[in-house]
Amino acid sequence: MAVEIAPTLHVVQFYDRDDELIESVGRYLAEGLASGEAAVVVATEAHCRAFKAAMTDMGIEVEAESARGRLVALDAAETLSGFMVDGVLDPEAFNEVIGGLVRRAGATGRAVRIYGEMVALLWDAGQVTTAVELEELWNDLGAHLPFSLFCAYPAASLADEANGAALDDVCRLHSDVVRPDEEARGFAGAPHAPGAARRFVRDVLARWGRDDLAGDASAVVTELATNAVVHARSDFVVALSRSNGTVRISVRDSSPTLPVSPNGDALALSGRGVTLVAAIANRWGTEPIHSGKVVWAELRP
Amino acid sequence: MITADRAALQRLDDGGHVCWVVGDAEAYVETASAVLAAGTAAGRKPFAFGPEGSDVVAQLSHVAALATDPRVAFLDGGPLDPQSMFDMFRAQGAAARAEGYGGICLVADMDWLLAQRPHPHEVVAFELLLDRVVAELDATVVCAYRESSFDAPDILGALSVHPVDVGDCEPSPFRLVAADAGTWRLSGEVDLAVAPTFAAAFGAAAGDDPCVVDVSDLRFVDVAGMRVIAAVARETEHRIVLRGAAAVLRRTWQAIGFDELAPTVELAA
Repeated sequence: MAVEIAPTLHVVQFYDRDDELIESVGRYLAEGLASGEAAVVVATEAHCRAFKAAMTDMGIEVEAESARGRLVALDAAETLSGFMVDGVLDPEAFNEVIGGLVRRAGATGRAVRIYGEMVALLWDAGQVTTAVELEELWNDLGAHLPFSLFCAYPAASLADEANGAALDDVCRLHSDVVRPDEEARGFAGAPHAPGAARRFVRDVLARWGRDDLAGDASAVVTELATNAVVHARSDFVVALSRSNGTVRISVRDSSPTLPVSPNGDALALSGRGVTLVAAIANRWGTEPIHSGKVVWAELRP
Repeated sequence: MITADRAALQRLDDGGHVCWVVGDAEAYVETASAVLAAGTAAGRKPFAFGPEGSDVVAQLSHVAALATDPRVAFLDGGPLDPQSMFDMFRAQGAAARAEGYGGICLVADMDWLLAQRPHPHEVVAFELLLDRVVAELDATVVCAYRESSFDAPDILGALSVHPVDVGDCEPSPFRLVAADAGTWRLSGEVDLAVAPTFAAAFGAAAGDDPCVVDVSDLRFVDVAGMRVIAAVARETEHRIVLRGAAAVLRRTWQAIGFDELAPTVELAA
């Protein structure tokens, strides 16, 4: 029996403030641990401590998970030196060190999710090309081993025009890019995911004081998420952003097949979800992105 | 020692249709006995159902006026026949009142269903319609589904059509239960994940013509859920009235064209 593995997520976040990063990564790791996945953190010592504190606040028993080998925290600079010599990356050593890490974490068949800062360290040290190379090595590894990867760069990096091309490369190498003014969360492509996506959207809208859009947003995100689960059969990321009175919801999945309007069969099992989005949204659209697509919808009161 | 389930079951108001999800560690007979004793003290005639030949039936015969396997006693050993079961309940309810009781109190170990293996959707439909009978008779009926006997999806199906549940379990995302004056109440959220179970429940409710459903507590329904409603309406050709429909539902039902596909469905604010 052929088993289809959903393409894994490789997400990059650009963050404004440290506390934004801590919250985001803390939640990413905590959710993984809570659902039985292994979590690997390769970060600065200060960040490792902050992530552990954040996870503890979210109800994770950090000591116990570490003792069990479910949570692995490593120093980014030290780990980097294990496969970088004289400023040059050694792909074989990377596969040995990092590949070994991933295999051990996922030894009992657990899914593995990773947060890594080594690329950000390189970028900050001005070794921008090397940072991009390292992102590529991560992607190559991801072709052989299943894991989800979350990297983060300070948003200030976005502003540096000198690194524009490198930045494009970084974004291109990721399945999803989260910008500072966005709230985003990834979901596994499972039947209960649309319900979880609704809860996430409602929470964000409540925090933004936009409960007036909760009904419409729930309907839109459900149809887009359902399409990702049923048609794209992939994990997906829901992102929300706002400007003026408008809220924009986007769902990014790993299938390049663009959604089409239904044709005819009134009570067909599929279709009509897109019709609903078109009916509710002020504007909506879809674009292919690196190894997938994004479908977005703008909502107004 | 009083378990959490027993405490919850004993706290129930007089009368009700309860889905009790029984965990492995639960002392079923002790808890069922306590519930039947409480029912007796409240003036109800106690009944216990369970699979033929089981300890449950034997042990509870000491505290129940009737302890039996309903498949054997009322269905001639045959498959689940909802109408026969409802007729039996009404007859038993009437007999109990004639004997001076205020009604009946039943604790049913639903393992009795397993001998004939009905389709889970048949069980959902049966429990939904039973809900109306229980309300009509002002009876207390506790349906006990053991986690060791029933799959999680089947338990979720049962939970979706009982107004009350007890036990350490995830609640159903939606509920469809009997409400006043021959109407139904649909609450919670319906999406693709629960659409098949919802179809079984809603299909049973739509035996009514008109079928009137209060949806003011329906927090969300997606296109898959709307499709179920439209399909049931087209198949039965009954009038279906959804009262208290949210604005987004009314808007999208029309925008997608379900109003034309299923013209017997009326969405009222």
